Order: sequence, then C-alpha cells, then structure tokens
Amino acid sequence: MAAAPGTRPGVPEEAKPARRYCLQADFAGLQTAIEARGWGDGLPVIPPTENLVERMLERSPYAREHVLGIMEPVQGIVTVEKVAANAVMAGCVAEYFPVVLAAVRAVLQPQFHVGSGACTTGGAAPVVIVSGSLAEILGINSRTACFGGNIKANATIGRALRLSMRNLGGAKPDGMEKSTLAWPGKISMCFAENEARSPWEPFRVDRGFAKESTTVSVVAARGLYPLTEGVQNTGLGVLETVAAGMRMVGAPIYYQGKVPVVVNFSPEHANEIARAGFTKQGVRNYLFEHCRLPAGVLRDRGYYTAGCWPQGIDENDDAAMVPIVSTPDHLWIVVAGGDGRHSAWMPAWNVCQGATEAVVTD
Amino acid sequence: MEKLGTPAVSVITTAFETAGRARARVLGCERHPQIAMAHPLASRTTAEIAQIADQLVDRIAAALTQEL
Repeated sequence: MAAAPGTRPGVPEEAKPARRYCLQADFAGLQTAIEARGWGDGLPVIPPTENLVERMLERSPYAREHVLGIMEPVQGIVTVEKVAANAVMAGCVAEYFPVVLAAVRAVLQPQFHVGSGACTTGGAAPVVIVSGSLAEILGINSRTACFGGNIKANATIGRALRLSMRNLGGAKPDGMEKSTLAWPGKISMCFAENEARSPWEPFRVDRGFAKESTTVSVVAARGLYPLTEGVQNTGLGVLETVAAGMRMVGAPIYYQGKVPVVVNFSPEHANEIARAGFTKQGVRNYLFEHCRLPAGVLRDRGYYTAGCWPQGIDENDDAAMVPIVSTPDHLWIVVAGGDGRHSAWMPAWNVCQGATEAVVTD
Repeated sequence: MEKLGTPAVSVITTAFETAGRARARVLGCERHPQIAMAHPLASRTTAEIAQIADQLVDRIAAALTQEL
C-alpha cells in the first residue's frame, strides 16, 4: 500500500467508515430510491453495494478510511471509500480506480478552487486529461471521438469525478449549483493524450512530471470551442486560423487570464505545425502573441473590471492589445483526437488554475 | 469575520439565497444575517446600485447591530 498523501492543516488523516443504507428494491426501484436521495446525475447508476465497493477498494493504493481532503462547498470529508462508492455508481471497473483517485486528488488541490467552480453561474465543468502509458492499457480513448464520452473508460472516469464532486461537495441544482447553462462536461469529460501521433513531448512533461509516469490533469473549463481548419495546408496557416478563432469577444478568459487555456490540436494539425518548425513552446509563444484583442473592444463588456488585465496594459488606451492569458505558460498544449482537421480550445473559468496528479497504482 | 468578532452581513441577490444559507450552515454560522436584493446585480447602472443601497442600508445596519 502506498504512503498516503498528507492532508492539509485542520483536515483529519482518517475518517469513520461511510454510512451504510439498506435499500431493498429491484433495479428500477433502486434507481428511483437513489435519485430521490439526490445521489445521481439523472442517468441510471450502478447501485454501490458493499461487494462492488470492496472490489473497487482492492485497486486503491491507500486505505479505505484515508482522507483525501475536504470537498467544497459543503465541506464533505472525502475518504477513499466514498470515492469508491461514487466510482461504482459511475460505472467504473476497478482497474480505473487509481485514475479516479488521481482526478479527485487533483480537484482537491487548493489552486483548483473546487467550491468556486462548482457554484459559479459560469457553468465550469472539470475536464480530465490523462497522459501516460496507463491510458492505453486502460483503454482511455485518445483517438477518434475522444471527447464524446462514448468509450467506457472516458465516460465513467469523468463521471466518477463529477459524482464525487457532486455528492461529497454538495453542489446540486436547486441548491448550490448555480450554473446559468452549464455544459455536458458536468456529466463527464475525460480523454487521453494521443501520444503516438503527437510530434511533441508528452503533456505530463510540460506539467513537470517524469516521462515514465501517468498523470491526470484537471481544469474547470468554461466550455469546449471547436476550431476547424480544412483548407490551409501549412502549420502557420493552421495556427493563424486557431488564433483567429480564439480571438473571441464574449469569452470571459480575456478578463480572467491568470488561469489555463487548454488548446487541443488534432494530430493532423499538430504535425503540420511541427513540420513548420514550431516546438510546443513556439506554439505557446505564437498564440500568446496573436490571441489578443484591443482594449477598446473589451472594455466595459463581458467580465470587465478595472485592473483585470496584466500589468503594462493601459486600460484607457483603446489600441492596447490584451492577451488571452497573462503568460504563455497558461496555454496547455495537448494533442488528441483522430483523423480530421478539427482542433478545440477550452478556457478555464475564473480562478481555477488547474492541477495535475500522478496516478499511483500500488 | 463573525467568528473573529467582527459583525458581518452578506448582501446577495435572490438567486443566491439558498446557496448563501447552505454555505453559512456549513461554516457553523446558521444565524449569519443575509440580505437579498433583486437579481441581477451585474447589469445595473451605478445610479440603480446607489438607489438599492439606499433602500437596504437600514436593514444592513440593523443586521450588523443585532444579537445573533
């Protein structure tokens, strides 16, 4: 069993076993009972019976009573056992559990601001990005339709995180969940890096982890914005279109730029860009320089407040160009997807700086 | 702030009443005073905000000086 990660001051390292409920009903009756208690997300769930939760726990590197942290906004105590119950409900097989635990540990990092993201009108949802060899072993899709949730590992790992956030953090509709609209990421959004077709170093290396590791990065994203470029056949041409697509009035990121923006290139786009001589850092620098909008266009719109732009931007100068993020490092460059000429960007919301955890298996 | 000895009151819009009460309960301040104004806030003009503030100021003062 792995050495359990320490908790923060004031958070106990162990907690009592989760409460048991005795529900006697057929499958449909159990769905009704679970839904009535507010434990579901609207879709059918696998009833978290003791034997199924035990099977999940067998794959845990930590003891069942270990406390991973406190889930805001209602400050639920997050034990390994409670996460296991939510992973069962989401439909995970036990092999996925270390990845689910890493995702939960990521959102519990303070810079993730999980309570803020769960309660905002902005509708932020956690986007889970898996980077490393475990993704292939577990069948986490990095290729065709990888954002679509139609692969078991993607659908259930993302859902397990969301159910854990919802059931342990307590942000539910008609309560503390205040999204004006939200987006389907609130059900599940998980995909893997398509490392086999990436021309660059793996995403986990960008995040400061060893190449041999498998990591889970999570960011609370405002939404998913597709970027199509099917005519230009040079890397620079693709980048020009991507940057133009990200110069979007109404995207709150231009007022909240101290948080990440995930830019996901399809393999075709990525390889054309790399052939044009761009390293990942080169791509970050290009987008930082070209994803800018004039202060005169942004001011008094969107989420403008005085002082919201990086130092050096004269707020009163209509021609001053406001960058999408405050530094190039906030641009998270990922390669995922199948054949085709469609990339996408996903801006983080408000204060969520994203977080990465290594997957621990034993 | 209340726990640190400084009287406090939350002024929120009606859209956040349920969330505000739930959060106060979680933080162990169930009786923390909360005053709700009509939603929305963000699109109001400065003059409208001043008018709302005038309407609420007596209630805010009362909430800050009441015994919990």
